[in-house]
Amino acid sequence: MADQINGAAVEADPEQFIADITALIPSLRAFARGLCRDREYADDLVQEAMMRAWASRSTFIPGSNFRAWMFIILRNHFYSSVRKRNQHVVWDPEAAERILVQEPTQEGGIHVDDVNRAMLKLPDQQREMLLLIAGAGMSYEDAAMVAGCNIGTVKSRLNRGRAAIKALIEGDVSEVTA
Amino acid sequence: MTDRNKQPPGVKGVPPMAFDPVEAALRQIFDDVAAEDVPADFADLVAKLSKHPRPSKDK
Repeated sequence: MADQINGAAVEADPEQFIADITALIPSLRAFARGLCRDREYADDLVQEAMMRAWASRSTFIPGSNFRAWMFIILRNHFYSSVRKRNQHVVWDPEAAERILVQEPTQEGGIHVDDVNRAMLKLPDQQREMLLLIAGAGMSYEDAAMVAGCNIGTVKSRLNRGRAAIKALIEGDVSEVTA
Repeated sequence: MTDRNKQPPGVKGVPPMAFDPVEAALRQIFDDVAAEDVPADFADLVAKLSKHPRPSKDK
């Protein structure tokens, strides 16, 4: 995927490449955790993505969007791994809640842990869009690049995901927490 | 630890900045994870990668 996005192969400076990967570890871990909802699995995904990026670094064009490139590798690895494990449809909400313990802070009347629980109910595509844009602060263009879709689709998934979370929280919290 | 703040203002395609409590909560969730201490095995992996500066030929 990386070579499809970045075009011709140009050697990246290894030291800079490692520095760039290292700087991205925190946000890669957060994205992976949001995707798979499992701390250890998420860290395994990130480490594998780092190794894959390193092995493919000749396909990265220095000066292009390294962050999006790394997120693409991680996302692709996640979905590939999920297909192999065949576990992406069925979540264990109780296990997820144990992992996703958050302080019960409040943002404009909405609890963070309510949002966390509502995220468990969202389709993968909506959840990942919320993670990329609201969580990681990506632009629509970068999120479209990472998810392999167009900007209209990004906006649509984002809006539907945001609306679904609000509906889950405001409509029936007991159902969300069940 | 995200580079959200490095994004220049007014860039085309950047989502609107109006306050949304759901997005604020999502940002907090993401930032809380990103702010965690990175496990030591990541440092081990970085060190391991640093010892192999040439691209792999068997990808």
